[in-house]
Amino acid sequence: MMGFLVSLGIFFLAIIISQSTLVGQTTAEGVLEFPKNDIQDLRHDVLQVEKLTRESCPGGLGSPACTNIINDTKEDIRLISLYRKSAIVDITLPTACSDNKRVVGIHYNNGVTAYDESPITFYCQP
Amino acid sequence: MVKEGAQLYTMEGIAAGLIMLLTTYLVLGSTSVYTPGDTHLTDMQLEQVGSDILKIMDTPRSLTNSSDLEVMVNTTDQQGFNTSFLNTYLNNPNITAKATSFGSTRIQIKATVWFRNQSSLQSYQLYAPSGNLGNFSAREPGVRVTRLVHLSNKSAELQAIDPTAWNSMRAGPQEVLVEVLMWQV
Repeated sequence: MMGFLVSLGIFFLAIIISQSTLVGQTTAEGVLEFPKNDIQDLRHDVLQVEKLTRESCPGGLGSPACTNIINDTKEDIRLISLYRKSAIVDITLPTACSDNKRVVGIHYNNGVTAYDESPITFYCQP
Repeated sequence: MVKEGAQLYTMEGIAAGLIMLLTTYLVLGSTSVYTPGDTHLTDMQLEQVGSDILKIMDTPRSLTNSSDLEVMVNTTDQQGFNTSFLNTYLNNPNITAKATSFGSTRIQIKATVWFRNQSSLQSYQLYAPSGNLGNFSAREPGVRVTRLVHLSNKSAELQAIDPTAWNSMRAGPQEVLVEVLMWQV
């Protein structure tokens, strides 16, 4: 009877071991598919553009020249992401300060991973 | 006199043996699962290294400076980009010397810059490898790493190198994508 009980115990341990590879596989797939570098890069670039336009936009924020630059830049990022990274990117980058602040939003979706950055508030100099 | 005790032991033994066989089958079966992570492990490492290099190159040396990568794209510094990416950050000189001694050229790169022209994307070569690609045996798949770079204006040096691209590139601040294809030979 003892041998029977021990073998039964080993059997259940084996079931746990066999399940562990399944866990490892799904984790590995999750890590592989997550576009960490793309999202970090996109975020870095958007925040850099925000900083540059806030601090040294020709004519200052809200001027037609500055509005053109911001809109062009957003279109650059959108099109590059769509064609080269197969990702839909939507950026909220106000062309002027409202209420003395700008709220930046980043949305990223490449079909597998959807990433929505929570709105980041930047305060304009008074 | 025949008793039923021995018969019970035999049945128990057979049942336990069967369960043990089943256990062995399960254990052996589980270790041979080939996860997708294993197949792409070396690719992933190369990709991460490449992304990190681009990230380092795109980091300004001081708060007010432009990053090295931005300067290189801005001046279309082809040799500078190659030297910086391959020799400064990627290949340790000792490893490169060893690799050269048995005919390997180690990791090769090809860099392309993508920019937007109205509603379409266009590209030009930032760096293309030489014709000699080294030993063709045991080649690993290539990986692609990218970095969005902010340019304050289009490159003046590009006019001489690729006039077509220069003409269709718009002036003024813009975002371009530096795309580096890396493969090991």
